Amino acid sequence: MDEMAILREAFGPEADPSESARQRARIALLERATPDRMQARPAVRRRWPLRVGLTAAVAAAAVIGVVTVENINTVEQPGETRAESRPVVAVLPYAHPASATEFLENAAWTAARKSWQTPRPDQFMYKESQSLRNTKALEQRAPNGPLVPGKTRVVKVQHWDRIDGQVTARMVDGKLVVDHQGSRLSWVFVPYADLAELTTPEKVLAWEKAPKDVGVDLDALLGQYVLPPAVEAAIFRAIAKGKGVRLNPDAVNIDGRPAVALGLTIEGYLSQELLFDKETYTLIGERLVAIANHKNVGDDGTVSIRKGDVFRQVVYTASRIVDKPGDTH
Amino acid sequence: MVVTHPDVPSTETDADLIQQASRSPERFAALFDRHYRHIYAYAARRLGTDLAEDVASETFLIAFDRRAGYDAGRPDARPWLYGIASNLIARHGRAETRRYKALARMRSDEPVDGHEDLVAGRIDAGVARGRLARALERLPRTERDVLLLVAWAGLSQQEAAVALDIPAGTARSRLHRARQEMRLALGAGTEGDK
Repeated sequence: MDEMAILREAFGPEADPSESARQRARIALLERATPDRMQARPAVRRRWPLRVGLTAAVAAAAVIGVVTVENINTVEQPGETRAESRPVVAVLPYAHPASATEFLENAAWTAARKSWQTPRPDQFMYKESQSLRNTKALEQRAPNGPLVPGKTRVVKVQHWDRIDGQVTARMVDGKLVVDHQGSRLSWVFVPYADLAELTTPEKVLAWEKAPKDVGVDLDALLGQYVLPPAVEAAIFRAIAKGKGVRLNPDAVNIDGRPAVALGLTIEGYLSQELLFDKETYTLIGERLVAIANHKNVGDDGTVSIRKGDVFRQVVYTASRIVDKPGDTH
Repeated sequence: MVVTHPDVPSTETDADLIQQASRSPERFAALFDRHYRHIYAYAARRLGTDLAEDVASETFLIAFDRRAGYDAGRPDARPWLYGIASNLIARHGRAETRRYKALARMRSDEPVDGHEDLVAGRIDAGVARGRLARALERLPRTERDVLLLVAWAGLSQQEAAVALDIPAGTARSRLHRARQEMRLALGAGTEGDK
């Protein structure tokens, strides 16, 4: 036997892919090749809630390397034979995302499959979050200081913003405060109709660069608006196209649960991070953390910042369309 | 070539399928059915089964995106597909090196990715595997690519050159050097191998 034959023999027989791996790859290809056919059509749409539920379950399975693919049954379209019908499968583009780009593609893929009904102009975006803040005494002493472990409190933040931008509301000390544009307050806002058109990463990036009345960070849009699934997915993909997005697979959530952080370095020593659920790829929060020691020299004194200092940590707890301020469901 | 899908008549070449896919994109799935298993197996040998899933899947996504540039004069798409896979494998250079290191350390009777039945009890194969793994780890990537495309993917030297987009002469000299390294590794003493 020559060295080539030994090379073939010594490393064992060829590994066979699992059926679930093959299915996942084949469907990813078909989705790329025939995106329109793979989109939900009436017969599929009836099963939508089931698909959404399974996405999370399968995403969880993917992380631990045991992928379950719902390919037992296929959904037959009217007029199609069984051979032509497509399996309804919740599959992720990357079973083991190894980079920020791959992780964001999984997040985009998951986001694009959320159920959605276009809101009316008189409906409200309801955003609820839990923000980690220093105690009131500490905040008064150093309002821009880092969070001090052991001296923090969790503040529940609730906001309602009408789709047409004319009404905003928030909960202040248990009381609902509603403001109408031009009465007591005036504010600028991004027209919802403009955002709803950003259905591809290219459109998102072009819009981001275009002159506007409002300065907008893409990651902040995700935390402040209730966006259509296609727009949310396009924003994830647009962020992925940007340079310098880093994947931190070992971040922790506000309550100590594991999370994945995707961070952008700002000012050389801070990382603005989006936090994702490690298993379902859904966006669950954001934080701002120092990634290097730094000295801020200001007129009112020099502030030393240590690597690891956390300046902001927010967990998104609800994001949905509701009918009126005060509604949470 | 192994045709694994009943819907793909053996008379249709890969080039035919790729050409058909320009009009009916879903025809690309036939190319997938034909070659996926082999691309996966190749990637699995180099990177292990976990990474192989992603590499094999992405190979076909990239191939689909580049189908318009495929040279219709080449009936067999394997060199093209293995070339894409090789580039993807190169992104996981550290993982590949770790894998060879681990295989070199492994006792000869330990399984490789569950294929214990092949190696169990075959001390000679185990010893050879350890030595070859060490040699593969040390081999420059450019030489390793040619060697493994020929040894594990089953491409000819000429096809490996097409896959890697290098002149045939370059492929020949790289393969020559790589084979020499493998022979040297196998010819090394047996002390300490068990």
